[in-house]
Amino acid sequence: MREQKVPIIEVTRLVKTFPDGTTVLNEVSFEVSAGDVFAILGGSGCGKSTLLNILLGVDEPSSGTVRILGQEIHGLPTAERKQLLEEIGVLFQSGALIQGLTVAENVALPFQRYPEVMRDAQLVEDTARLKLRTVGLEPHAFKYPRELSGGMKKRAALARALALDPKLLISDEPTSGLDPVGTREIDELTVKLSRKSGTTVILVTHDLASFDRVATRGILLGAERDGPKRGTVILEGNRDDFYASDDPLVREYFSRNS
Amino acid sequence: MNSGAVTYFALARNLGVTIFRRQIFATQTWRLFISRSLLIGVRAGPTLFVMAFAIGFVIALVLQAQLAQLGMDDRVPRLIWIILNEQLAPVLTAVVFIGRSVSGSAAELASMKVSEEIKALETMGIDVSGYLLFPMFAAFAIMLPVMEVFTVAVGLFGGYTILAQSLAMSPEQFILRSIENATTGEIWHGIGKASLFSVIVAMIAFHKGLNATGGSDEVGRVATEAVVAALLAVTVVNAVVTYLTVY
Repeated sequence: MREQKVPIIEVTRLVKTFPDGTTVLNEVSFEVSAGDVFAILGGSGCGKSTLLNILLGVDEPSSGTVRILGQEIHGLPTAERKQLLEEIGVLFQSGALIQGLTVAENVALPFQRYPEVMRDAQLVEDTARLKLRTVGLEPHAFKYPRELSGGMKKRAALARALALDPKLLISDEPTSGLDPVGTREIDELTVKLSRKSGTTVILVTHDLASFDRVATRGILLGAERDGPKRGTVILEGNRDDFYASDDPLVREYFSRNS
Repeated sequence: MNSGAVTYFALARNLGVTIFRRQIFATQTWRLFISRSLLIGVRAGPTLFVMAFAIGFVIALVLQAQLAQLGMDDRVPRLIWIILNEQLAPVLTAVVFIGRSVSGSAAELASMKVSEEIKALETMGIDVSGYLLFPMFAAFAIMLPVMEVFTVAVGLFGGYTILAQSLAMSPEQFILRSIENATTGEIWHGIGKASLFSVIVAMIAFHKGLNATGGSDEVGRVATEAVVAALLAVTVVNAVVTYLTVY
């Protein structure tokens, strides 16, 4: 029997329909417990990006609720939403490092919201260096993003996402565009982070090797080609549940992405 | 700013809130403002001044040739002064800023939008308006009028080079005839127009850049759209303002 854990995210009957009538998320419900590395799997058009935007509060659902750390994110006053977002670090698919800033300045960006901290330049620099050391990039602190390899950019973006020691890390296709070595490095950092600091991780991926290495639980969302199942939760469970499933859509997804 | 289109109203409101909350006094804001001013304003100088010199030169040539037939060629400096201050300098400065800085700023913002940098700033709780847009806006609003004043000066110098040859006019004579019966209102007219154009072109750059969608191939299209829209806006607004001030 699974140990009872505190839910960090509770998504209940989430629906997102665009103005053109396309429903990309259909009655999606799941729970993510503290310390989980929770994977969101799915093919093209399954609504992964929309789901992430809703989790981050930058897009509104058509119906349903999203509770993060016990608070319903949609409808929260701006100040409280900003406070809630402080507990969330985001690793974007592209890395999304600001090109005009050095790696250290990028990692220090989240401190911008604390002007009193920003006044202590030494403290900010020391913290940024510490985070960069965690991901093995301290020697590259004063380089610009364009001077880094794809894997290094992702690691720098991970350091930035961890700058404020968030309780929740949302990681959007962290290994996309990386070679096997870069992929393994990011996966190992994610596992280390989850185990050492207990950070809950939402991992959006289509990389089954990453899923195997990192995820503790996850959901599979129906893709565009799955017709009426598009945007619905086809399976929720741990890795064994996925590999043991005889649902044809699960089997097709795993054979297509193996 | 990520979900849905960014409107001109929302841009204006967010910039207003940034100023009202005094976020503009943050050290970081001023550091960014200085680097933006160099990029947006100072680096436009060489292009702008070459064009201003050539235009002052051409105006003097044409006016001198025409007015000499009426025996009024001593009025050429005064006409150059009026044409530059009230029409050509603000429009020329705006056009050069549109070609260099509006296209550059719109492309930069579009690139940041499609590569999720804007979304990253928002999810980090950073006010995009205060951190990114205000330094750019201030650089446009201050540098365009400043460069307009220099454009007038360089344009006058271009005109003087012709009159020094054809009328053997000394620099003192040229300056005295330029400002004969001039009012400070003429100077403020040009600066005022340049300030108005700066706000218009900056807002167009922000609007086009932040509404970019799709991939990196969108960046070039956004820059082109911003340039076209800004050129149209400046031309039309200049016509309206001129009409209102003449009548």
